[in-house]
Amino acid sequence: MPVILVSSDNQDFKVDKEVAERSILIKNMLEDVGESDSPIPLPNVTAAVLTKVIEYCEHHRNDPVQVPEETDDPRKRSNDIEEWDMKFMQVDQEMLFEIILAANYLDIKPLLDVGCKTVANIIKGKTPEEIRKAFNIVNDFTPEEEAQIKKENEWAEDR
Amino acid sequence: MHALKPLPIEILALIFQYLTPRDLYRTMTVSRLWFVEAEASLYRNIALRIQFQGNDSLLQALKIRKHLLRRLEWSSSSGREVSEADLLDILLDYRPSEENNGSTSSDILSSSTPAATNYAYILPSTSPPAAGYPLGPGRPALRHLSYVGGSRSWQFFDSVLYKLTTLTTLELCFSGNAYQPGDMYVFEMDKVLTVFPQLKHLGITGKMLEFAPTTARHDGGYNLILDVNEEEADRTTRHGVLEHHHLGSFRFNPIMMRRSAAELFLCFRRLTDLTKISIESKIFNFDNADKSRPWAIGRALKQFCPRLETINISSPVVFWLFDLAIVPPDKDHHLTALVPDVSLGAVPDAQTKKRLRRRLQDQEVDELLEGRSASPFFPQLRRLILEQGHSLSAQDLISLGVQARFLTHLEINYQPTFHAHVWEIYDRDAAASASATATTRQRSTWSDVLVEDRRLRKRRQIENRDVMLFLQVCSSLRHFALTKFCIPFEHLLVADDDIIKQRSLGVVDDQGEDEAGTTEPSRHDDKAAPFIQPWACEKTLESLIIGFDIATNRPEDHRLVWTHLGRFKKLRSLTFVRDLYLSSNSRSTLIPSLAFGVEGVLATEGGGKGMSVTLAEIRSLPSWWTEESPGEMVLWFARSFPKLRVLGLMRYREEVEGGKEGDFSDFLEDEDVKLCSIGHVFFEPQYSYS
Repeated sequence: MPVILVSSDNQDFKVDKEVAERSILIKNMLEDVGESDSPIPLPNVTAAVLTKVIEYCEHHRNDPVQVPEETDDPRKRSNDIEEWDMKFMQVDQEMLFEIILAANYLDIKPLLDVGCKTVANIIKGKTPEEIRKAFNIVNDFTPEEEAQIKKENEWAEDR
Repeated sequence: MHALKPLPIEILALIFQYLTPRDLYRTMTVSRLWFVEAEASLYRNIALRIQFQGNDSLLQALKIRKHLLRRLEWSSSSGREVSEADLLDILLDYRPSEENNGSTSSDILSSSTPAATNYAYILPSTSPPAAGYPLGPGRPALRHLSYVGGSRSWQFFDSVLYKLTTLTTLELCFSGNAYQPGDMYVFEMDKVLTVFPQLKHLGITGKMLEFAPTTARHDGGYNLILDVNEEEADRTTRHGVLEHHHLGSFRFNPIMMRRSAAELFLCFRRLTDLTKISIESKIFNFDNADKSRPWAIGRALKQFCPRLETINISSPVVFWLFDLAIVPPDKDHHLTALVPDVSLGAVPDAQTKKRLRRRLQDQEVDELLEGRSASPFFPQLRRLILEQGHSLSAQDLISLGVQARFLTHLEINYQPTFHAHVWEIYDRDAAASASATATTRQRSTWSDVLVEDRRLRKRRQIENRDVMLFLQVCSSLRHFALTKFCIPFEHLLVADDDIIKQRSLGVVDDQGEDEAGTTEPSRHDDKAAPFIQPWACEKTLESLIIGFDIATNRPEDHRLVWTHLGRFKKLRSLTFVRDLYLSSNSRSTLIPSLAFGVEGVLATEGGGKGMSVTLAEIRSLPSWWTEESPGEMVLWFARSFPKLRVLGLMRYREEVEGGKEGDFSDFLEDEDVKLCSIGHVFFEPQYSYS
């Protein structure tokens, strides 16, 4: 049974219920309203971003539901992104950030994880200046503040 | 202003969890916005390591940022990684004044004598205040503490530990050697459960460890005197109050199970929410195996912890999964009828003994397959992982297959122990009860001995045929691993020892006649081709680790196994185990070659696609077969399994053919192989999965 999703710019998207329910937010909405043809508004997601999100959910529609890991080990890997996901995430940075925000809003954890890993991989190994350049960020520290932060936390340079 | 829409802080937190401390250090100076979360992420999880040069700098930084600390991992050799004063400051926000004891900072061990030569029990240089250390307002809300190290500073350690009441994870491992009384860390389970109400994960391991209730005391030597009797053990229930605790996961040293019955499971009575236990020790000997009471352990855990669903055993411990009903001595006629009377004076030959024993075993297997005479201790069991030292019995394994409705994950990573005493244990309580009103059997003949062992339900070690039976009946498995075993091809076909022996000897005539007079088809009879019994998990299995042992001169046998593997509808990961000790060139692991029927894996019943559309990973695939070039085989797998992304290849045994390894690795540089859809083709580390 198809579900109609409405983006913030009022574009309708008809998707299979199974695909839509990869989003826990949508899944819970559908459970709350029961059998209904009413479109589901997504005021925080534009059509362009929703297109990408639906593409991801379609590709992963048969994936098993992720079971939360028992361990609270904070060490997480970001080098295990599948090839298809890697290509899917080859978008401009604005779209990358929008996909992450949409995945967070729609509660699609696997997509959120992939997005965060992608950004983490961009950051890894770079100097602060290289990171700023990669994300077009302006340095708002004074040289003295920057030096103090480095000095106080220098132990981490070797970890 | 950021040119891009800034990510909210909670998203930055998710991104930064993938960064190393070094990357977080660099991220801190990107911008003020990133600094906030980078600093929080960096100091949220801290590892204090042995002999890390930057520890002083870290400790100074941590004193200022202790409010951010949530997780601390401390691996200690001498306790010199952090001083008492630093520990009190960071964990409790407490700084003893200089006039109190004349020192503000000292090593936990005496600073005057090198730790390596100072074996005396050392008191900390600062004594805790009578009311314990006060807590400062800036103390961290620590959630996770793991400590690995010696136990000689336990008194000081406890005075800090029991103040960390916000912990949800506590892992302690006390290592070293006991040189005098008091060197052992005495772990008070009741106190821990009371002081840490939010604890969800508890691990207490290491050899420098004793478990005791608070009433225990030393006898002046190395022994604990247990003052708790049955009545005192029930004291918490006397007034109808039982303080339940919400601990979900408990990892412990097996010595916890070697206690008197009275106080053994006092703590487990409080752990009604427990879902996971891990029994762990690095000492691989079965101390006091004959004094083990696995039936009592199983019954107690079943009663007190009904939600247990995960069991990990990596330690020598006698642990049963099922309660097997002992046959009263006056009701064993169905057993005595199976074995003829053999005079004690006439010692039967080994073959006869084996045959008689097998009859009784087969009768028991039939009972177990019908679900009779075995009652599960863990009816909610989902995951079972067995490492070195385990004592999984054939009876438990077969009963698991029949009765474990929720079992999805089974790993048998070692052969069961060969320690003789383990296989002589039986339920003494039930035996005494069963014999109470019956005449005690006199062991007068060899058959009596066999019947008595069967009657008392003594466990026996698993054999290949038991594994096959399990796989043929367990329908819920999603992950199955059988390492340190290689299943001979003949055992995949049938479970009869005589036929297995005949096939493995290469007998060509139809000699499958068993004692009942039935015949097995000749392996050369086309009308009755060999057939591998289906596994019950063919529709559910997603991950399989297994080894095979097949004649190299019988490609049709390999084809049959490949076809059997093709039945799995959902398999995502397949790993082959190699038997390092299989030195004969006439037997091998499963050969991935078209000449050996590998395309049989693509042939599925009913025309379905099977694992050709699900398989994403193959590990330890043998790479040295030369019927085709290895590169061609890699490309065949790429074409046949469109979702395959990881292909790990097993190296050849250099000692057999003398250094052919290099000849088989050049193909990895072929353009076609490098550009194929698999993406990640590599050689496995030596001796992985073997």
